[in-house]
Amino acid sequence: MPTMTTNSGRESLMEGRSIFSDISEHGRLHMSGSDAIDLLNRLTTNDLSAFMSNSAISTVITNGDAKVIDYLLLAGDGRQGLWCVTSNKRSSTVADWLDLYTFGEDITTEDRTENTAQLIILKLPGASFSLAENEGFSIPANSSSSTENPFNSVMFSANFGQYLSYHILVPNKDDLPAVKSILKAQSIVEISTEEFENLRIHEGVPSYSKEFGEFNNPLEARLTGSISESKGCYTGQEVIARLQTYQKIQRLLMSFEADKNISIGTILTTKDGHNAGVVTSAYKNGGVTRGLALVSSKYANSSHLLTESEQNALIKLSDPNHALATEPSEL
Amino acid sequence: MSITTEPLTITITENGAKHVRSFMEAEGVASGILRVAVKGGGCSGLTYALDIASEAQEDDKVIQQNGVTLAVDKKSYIFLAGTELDYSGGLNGKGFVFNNPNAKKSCGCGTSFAV
Repeated sequence: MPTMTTNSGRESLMEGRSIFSDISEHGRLHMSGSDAIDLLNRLTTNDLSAFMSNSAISTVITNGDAKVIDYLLLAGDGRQGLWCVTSNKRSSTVADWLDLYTFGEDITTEDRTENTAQLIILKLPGASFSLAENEGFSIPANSSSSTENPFNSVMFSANFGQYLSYHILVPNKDDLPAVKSILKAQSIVEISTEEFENLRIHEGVPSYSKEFGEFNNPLEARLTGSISESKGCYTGQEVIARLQTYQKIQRLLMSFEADKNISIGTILTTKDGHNAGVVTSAYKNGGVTRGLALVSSKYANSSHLLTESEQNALIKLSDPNHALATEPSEL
Repeated sequence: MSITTEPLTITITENGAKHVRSFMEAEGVASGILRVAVKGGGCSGLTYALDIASEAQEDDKVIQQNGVTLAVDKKSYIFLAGTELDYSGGLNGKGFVFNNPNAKKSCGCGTSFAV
């Protein structure tokens, strides 16, 4: 569990400043070939049929039981290929998965995690952002586009709770210090990996192995914004459609706040002792623990839950910011 | 007691072969081959693919039965070995049907499978 107790990253954001963090621990695959998008479209949840060399989109690889192999961010490289950003330490698993389902198609997949780097910039909507004008960066107009930039870097936007995020994918990791210097020169503040993790938890952005993985489906992790209901068949689609149609989603990702020290793995209960869920991520901020939990759908609307061990620890649930920002409004 | 084993192969029924020949004639490639393959995708993860081609590829497994030549690429063959290709016609028919012993489950519409 993160032990960070300050909140300077979020405070900077709230003051209207932009921040950035090094998220190079994510996996990065470079894909090329005329069938790459078609294969991804057949194997993942979102509709990639209109994807082009300057597109960006999030999607989820699911298996036939609709369990999550990984959550992916795809961004066109402006040329003939695309970048596929995976979760931490998941690049080889995703590459192997794609290879398993490749039967003679024209696809080349290279795992470039080790020699590339990645930064994420966060800002409040409407906050000033002078990177483009001063340094030749081309800021993506929206979350479905990517742009080419200095150092052959690719920039694309993705939802991150209530904030706007911009990923900068640096193809040569030796260029990372120079890119960081440019950001710092524009008064964009670097925050540590630990602070960024606290922000992730605060914003309710789900993470592999904690909030999603091969133990659940993307609906439980509130990744609905990365699922197309109209694209037709993909691996896992039948199960996902059934869960949605018959409202059989067993658990839902929820944010929580508690005035006690709550650690990952803590079992949440109702007042009358029913098992209601489990804590998946948490950090302490002063005397308050903020975190994420997978909560039984039956109790996800409860205003308060307790913990199994401490019956006086009140857990206040709320919808994660990330889900509120990305879930289709009719849900 | 001696045990004899038959190598797993892909077979096509007479009814299936009749329809393949009919499609080939309609396409104007009466001397063509039927390429049988597997593709990633579909609800269960793998889908069947049929295509008429003029000739087999170098590494294909080639099978001749009931007057039809089938060509299967090596990777698809792993998932198709033992499969019988049939044809289900009529109002309730499904067209070409893959009776695949490797398929542990298939989706509701029957077009995709998992092993």
